[in-house]
Amino acid sequence: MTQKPQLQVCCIMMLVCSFGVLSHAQELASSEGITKETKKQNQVKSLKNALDDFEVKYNISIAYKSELMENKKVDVESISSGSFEKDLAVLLKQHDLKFKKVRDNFNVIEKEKALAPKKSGLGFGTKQRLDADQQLVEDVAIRVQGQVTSDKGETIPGVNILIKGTATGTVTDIDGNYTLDAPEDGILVFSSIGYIAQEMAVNGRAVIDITLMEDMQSLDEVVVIGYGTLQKKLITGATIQVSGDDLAARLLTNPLDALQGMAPGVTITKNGGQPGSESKIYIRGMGTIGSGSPLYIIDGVQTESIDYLNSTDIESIDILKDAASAAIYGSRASNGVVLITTKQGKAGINQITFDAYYGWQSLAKKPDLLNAQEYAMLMNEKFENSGDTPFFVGDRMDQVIAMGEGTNWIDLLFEDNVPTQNYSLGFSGGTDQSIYSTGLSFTEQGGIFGGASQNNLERITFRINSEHKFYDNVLKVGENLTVTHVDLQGAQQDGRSNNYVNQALSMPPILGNLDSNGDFFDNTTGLLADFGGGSLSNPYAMFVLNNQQKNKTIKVLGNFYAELQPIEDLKIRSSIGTVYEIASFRSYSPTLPPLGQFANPSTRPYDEVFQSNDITMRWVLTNTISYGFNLDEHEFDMLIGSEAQQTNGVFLSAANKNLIFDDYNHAYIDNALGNSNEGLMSMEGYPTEHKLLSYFGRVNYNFKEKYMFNATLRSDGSSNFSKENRRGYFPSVSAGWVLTSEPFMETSGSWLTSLKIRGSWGQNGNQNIPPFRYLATVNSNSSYSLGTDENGFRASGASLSRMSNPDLKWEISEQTNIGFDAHFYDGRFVANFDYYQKSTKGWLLSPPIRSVIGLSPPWINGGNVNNEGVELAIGYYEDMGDFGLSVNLNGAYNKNSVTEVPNDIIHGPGGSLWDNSQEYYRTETGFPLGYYWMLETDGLFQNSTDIENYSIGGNMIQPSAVPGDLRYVDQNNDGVINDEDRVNVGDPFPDFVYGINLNLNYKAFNLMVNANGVADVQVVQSYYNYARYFPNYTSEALGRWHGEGTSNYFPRLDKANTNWTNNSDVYVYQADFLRLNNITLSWDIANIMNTQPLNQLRLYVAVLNAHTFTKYNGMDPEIGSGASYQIGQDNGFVPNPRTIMVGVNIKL
Amino acid sequence: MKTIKIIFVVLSTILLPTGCNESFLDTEPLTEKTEPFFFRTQQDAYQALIGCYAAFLDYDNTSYSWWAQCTAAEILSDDAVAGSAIGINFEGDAVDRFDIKVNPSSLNIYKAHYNAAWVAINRMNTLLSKLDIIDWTAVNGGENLTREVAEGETKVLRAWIYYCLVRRYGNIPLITENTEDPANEPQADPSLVYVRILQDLKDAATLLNKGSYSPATSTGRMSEWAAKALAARVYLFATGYYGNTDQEIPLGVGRSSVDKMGLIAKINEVLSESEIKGYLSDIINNGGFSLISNFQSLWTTGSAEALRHDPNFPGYAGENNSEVIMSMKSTYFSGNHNGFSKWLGPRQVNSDSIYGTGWGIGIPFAKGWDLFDPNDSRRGASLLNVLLERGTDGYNLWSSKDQRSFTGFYYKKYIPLNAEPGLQDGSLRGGGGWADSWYQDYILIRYADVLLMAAEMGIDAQANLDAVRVRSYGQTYVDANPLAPSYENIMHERHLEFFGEGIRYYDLLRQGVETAAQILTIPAPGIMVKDGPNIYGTTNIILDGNNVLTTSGLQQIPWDEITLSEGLLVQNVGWEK
Repeated sequence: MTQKPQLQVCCIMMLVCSFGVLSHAQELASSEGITKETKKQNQVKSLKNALDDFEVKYNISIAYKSELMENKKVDVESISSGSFEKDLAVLLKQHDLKFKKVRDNFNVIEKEKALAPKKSGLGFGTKQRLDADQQLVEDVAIRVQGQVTSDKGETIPGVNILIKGTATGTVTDIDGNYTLDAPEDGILVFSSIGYIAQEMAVNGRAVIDITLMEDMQSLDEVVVIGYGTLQKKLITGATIQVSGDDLAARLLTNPLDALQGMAPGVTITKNGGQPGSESKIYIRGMGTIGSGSPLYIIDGVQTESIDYLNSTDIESIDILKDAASAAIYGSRASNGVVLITTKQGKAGINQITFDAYYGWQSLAKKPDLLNAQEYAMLMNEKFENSGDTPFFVGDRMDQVIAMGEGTNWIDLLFEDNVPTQNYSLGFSGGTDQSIYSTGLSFTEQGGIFGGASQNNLERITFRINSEHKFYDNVLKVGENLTVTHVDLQGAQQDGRSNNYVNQALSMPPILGNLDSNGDFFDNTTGLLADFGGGSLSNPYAMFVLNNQQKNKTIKVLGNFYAELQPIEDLKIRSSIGTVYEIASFRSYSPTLPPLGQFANPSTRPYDEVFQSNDITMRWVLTNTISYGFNLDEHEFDMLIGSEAQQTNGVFLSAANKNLIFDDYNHAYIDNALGNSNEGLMSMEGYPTEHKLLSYFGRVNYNFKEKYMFNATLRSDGSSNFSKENRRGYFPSVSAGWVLTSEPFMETSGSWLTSLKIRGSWGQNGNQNIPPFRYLATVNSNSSYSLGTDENGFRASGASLSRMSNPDLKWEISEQTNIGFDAHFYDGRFVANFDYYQKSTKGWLLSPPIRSVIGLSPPWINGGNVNNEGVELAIGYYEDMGDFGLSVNLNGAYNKNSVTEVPNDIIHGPGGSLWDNSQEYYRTETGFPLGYYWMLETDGLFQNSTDIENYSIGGNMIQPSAVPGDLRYVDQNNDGVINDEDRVNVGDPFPDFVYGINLNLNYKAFNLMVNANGVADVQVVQSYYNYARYFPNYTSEALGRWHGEGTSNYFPRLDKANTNWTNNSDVYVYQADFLRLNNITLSWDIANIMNTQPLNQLRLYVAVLNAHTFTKYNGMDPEIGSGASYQIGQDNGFVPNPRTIMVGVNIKL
Repeated sequence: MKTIKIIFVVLSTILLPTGCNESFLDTEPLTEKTEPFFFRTQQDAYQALIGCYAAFLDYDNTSYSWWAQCTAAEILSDDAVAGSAIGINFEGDAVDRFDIKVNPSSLNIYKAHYNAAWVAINRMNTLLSKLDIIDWTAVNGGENLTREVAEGETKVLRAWIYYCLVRRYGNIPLITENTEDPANEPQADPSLVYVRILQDLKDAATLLNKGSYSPATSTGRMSEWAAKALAARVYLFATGYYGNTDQEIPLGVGRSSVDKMGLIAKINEVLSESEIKGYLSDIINNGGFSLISNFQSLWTTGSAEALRHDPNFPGYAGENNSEVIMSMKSTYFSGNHNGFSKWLGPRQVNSDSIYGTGWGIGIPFAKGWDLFDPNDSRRGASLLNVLLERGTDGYNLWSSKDQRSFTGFYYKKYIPLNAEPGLQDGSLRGGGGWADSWYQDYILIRYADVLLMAAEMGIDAQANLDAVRVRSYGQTYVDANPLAPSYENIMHERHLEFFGEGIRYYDLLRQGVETAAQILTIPAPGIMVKDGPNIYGTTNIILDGNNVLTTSGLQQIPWDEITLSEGLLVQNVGWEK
């Protein structure tokens, strides 16, 4: 542990605008070459006064230890060059002092080190070099210059360059350029935070350009830990940091999606490719059947999702996975915490960035559906198998033949080359007094389902963050503010009803789309209606007619903070944050043309309009005091704080019918003619309120950065619980030990750079339920019509609505984590490993109850699930001159087991596979969460002997079976197939989730490949409504059993769908996949030619979702729809598109 | 000391801005009252009572109304087949044939309906348990409700729900305001349920002869007469079903059987046969009810259609006519609407008729038409004879729709009414949408029912039977064709009078399960219909009477309820998975 320098900081605060800095630099440049000095007599001052004068004259700050100033006088006669560097150097040389430019306008004075040779190339913010020094070095050194760039081809400002074995060096300027006088045979050491340090021999070269590899696992990195930051080397919990640049490089609209495959233990399942679809995220296994989503904190403010942000606005995402790390967020952290820091400016680095991409999205994989001929053939077979005469014969078969392939509804509904685009403009910079970062971005993503005219996302994000210092850094104030406008057109396609992808998959090909008049076919009559399918209606027509809706959301999220530092190492910080969100929705449902027996003018006699408005305001006031101190080599960092949070919302909606205009643009309530007496109108309006009041404290301790210890306690009070139960206490402890700092490990220093062992234990809570569930409330929304008037006198009624549970309290998750972080060969090879055991107890849930109670189920604390797993991340970084390589592999294995639920079983709903299907998934003690509770099958009966032989004690087990039927496994050997034989045939949570990230660099070229995958996951496919006999099949059905030996897995077809009405594993598919998510090839022109003033001019082409390796036959094996713990059901959804992109990054 | 002071100051700076103390966390619901602040005033009591009425409607009529009392009973009866649209599953047919194997996946046929019943019972129990803590002082919005009226009306409503539950499922838990933990209640012996029903109605008959309220805002509420008429209906059903059945009626799978004679004895302890007769006589002599002159005028859509062809037709008598003793009130508003009518309407017919479109469930057999004498004015009012009303072209048009089991007939009494003849935009009279704003009340007990029950119990049997017949046939016909008031004749008259009103099935059951099974049986080759479902190897309608015997005519208890009860509830025999 290095002693913190006891600097008496002397600062003069000046407002220096960014352009001021630039012009100042020009001023300096123009003064180059002035060496003549005019001497003046009797110009002797104390050094301190002289420096004070400098500060005023040049708008700079100079810091020094006061002892250095003692009894020092200087002759200021010689210092009138107009360049403060020159003058200052001259001045200081008189006392063997030198100065170091830490940032623009901020300089620290130090003693010349004894080691240093009598030549001191000093760092400047420009290409300036101190002439006064030149004579000192020219006899032994040559001048070296060059540029430092990153492995991504960006120039790096602020890189320290030292001549090895000396304290002499310089730093790179804003363009990454440096000039340094160095011995011909010297060695230069290039280092910068976030990059792997590199040494380079001068070998008499005058130009040395160098590429630094980014160090993903840098020990010097600072990570966000909640109400503060901590050096990564001192971290004792399991956290992951992903930089905003890495997220932006993934080129995805939703920054959360960009995390996929980057953070082990963080499972992100995209909910298909529909614009604006929300991905599912869960950290370290699913811990509850309630809300499993983590807590999102953006710049200190809690919010529900991060998809309103543009990746280019994000500085970093830190994910707190273990309980100890998350414990500082107490009651809300049982599912982990995601901390987002938006981009901040850096003093002295003024930068303009522009990022743009444009892409073309297309369907990556088309499902193979039966064409008209195949459909007719299989339907005839169905009828024959059911003892009916085939339907498609004679004239009807002629009609089918005349159709050719028939209608391919998937082709009709999906569009190719649908645009997606993004433009981000950023400005950042500042001085040591003020920093700022601001950005404006526009994102648009069309949907491949129906094209951009049907589904489209438009997002405009504006961000301004700044921070200002007053009174010698005693006071710091700042703000972070993001304003977003999202315009989302269209609707999700999931579930079974109103899912037009599902309808396109199952709509028979024998119906046409448009008739000869250009109208949609009326399926009330015609071939399909004759066949009995008249209840179906054209999915394309229904989609186009019903999809007229827009969601407009305005979100303002930000905070304003002030930090007071009255004495060193004591910080008092107060922050007020707000989230203000207005979500408005408007939809129009036109009257229906005749489309089918269930969709025609009578099913919607009037056109309808719906408008709603949802306003939510949250404020959060956080006050913290942190104090750090050293006792010998024992370093303490303490934090205590309090936080109050309040959320208020108002929802208002209105609906009416019978509009005077019949289009979406005019669909407003005022244009509707329906009146309340006819029951055509409806409206709703209600408030929501939630409050949280918390106290927390944390102690971080370390001894020589070798032994680390951390303890956290948070107490939260939530308005969601009764007075008696509303306060919860969430403790945690963690410790770390850096083995490589021990003497006995010194011998391994050559290959093992660093090894840290970590361990933690902690508890977190969850309070994420609707309000007032502890109270018995009286609902006043019932009514009954009385009186003599036929129109009725509607008397208003009231009733108790649900069971209350005054004992309702926090859900608790408890987690133990053990892990290590190892760096080998100077950080070129990095490994992080974690093992955890997480138990979530007393879930907040509302399980079904016996209906005799007569009220809605209460919320209770019940259920316990254990998640146990390991996570491993391995990184390898290599730099061989022009060629650079980085490889990052990560994987997480998780085992999920329910150890207790109320009544042993929480049942899934019926009717979710098809109209009348039995419950197929459930949560049961001793099984994984939401496992598939189905019959296991053992092939098909090939002939009647098979059926007869399948018996027990001489009695046939499936006496009513016929050849081609499924053979169900009689698990309990009782001779009958019933619910007792249903077993766990799979579950929707992958056991293994992994990611592969590659980065290859050759000169100005860079190739990035990201892939992610899951293993051991099962999905349930339900495209077909087995309550009917006429939906279409995928071509998988061509492989059905139709005679002995023709198939042993796809049963015979019959009208009653006999083999599908009893849930069995015929619905279940293995859905492991490995997806090449992103392949980007880029070329930074600024790397190979002078493109000033552009520091970066990076052009790239990229393919997203390039290929998916999977055996699953659906359009996309990644299924994110459904309830939070039930995501494995493929009803048909808009798959992730394949996108081809071109883009540019410009830095100025 | 100084250190402590500093710490104190520091802590204050942290804690002060947040304000406050734990009271910051106090919040209260702004759009809902909480239980401790409800059930206080007369107005609260009135609102709670209306909440009971709302649940009474919702239970039977708006909660998945396919299985409302009327539609379910007609599908179960000997008059109709399940029907519905082609392509819909065979759940209705499984009920129709008393055979779950017809659609084995139907594990929760009545789930929504069953749940809604207990919601209603909970509301009623809650109100009854709060009567003592309510301050009955008259307040604005309290509608002059008295404790007696509140208790009486609630008990009639509760009796109705329990009656519907017990006659459909036979074996149900009995939850009252005194039950401590409903979740731990097993199925009660049916005798206890019937005793509770009759006791409630007996209480109500006494409590309700005191109230007076404004007709404009109160017509349609439960009255003394409703209590008495319903008591007679329940008494006749219970004594008939258990008294006329020879076989054992099981208490569920693996359980013993009902003590039938004990049940009847217990019922009579609450209300004896003579007390029931007294109730009926009281209604006839003092209730002020009368039969309206034209039978067809009782029905909205039938009246409108008749008026189109006969300008002299007297028109619809309205839903508050002199014949209505107990009804379930509906209006245009979604949630307060009649939910079951839409199921009865014919499939998608575009014609000059004013019959509204529906799902075509509960399709009457053609034999129903022949049940009626051609002189019976109830025939055309009860049945829509497509061929007769629409001719061959109309018949061909109607039969070409996706109506499963087309017979050429529809129940007419509760068919919805189109706004204009031939309109296929689904708008109904009054402008409401097709599915959720049909306003016709469901009449639970008509005065004719009281007259026929009185006749059945031997109260002026001939006169009361004749009164009903005269309205249907005219005096001349009745004089020329006298009919003795025998049990068989009265049951036949009830069949004709209440055709399509959801009464017939329970009139069959109360003749004994064996008689019901015999009447319900449709032997092979069955009744031929167009587009019948292929069940038992034929598209003809076949019904095995043994299924009626096996199930005792009782229905499936939702399997979800049985699973959740952890062994407390058992399934009815014949409905095993």
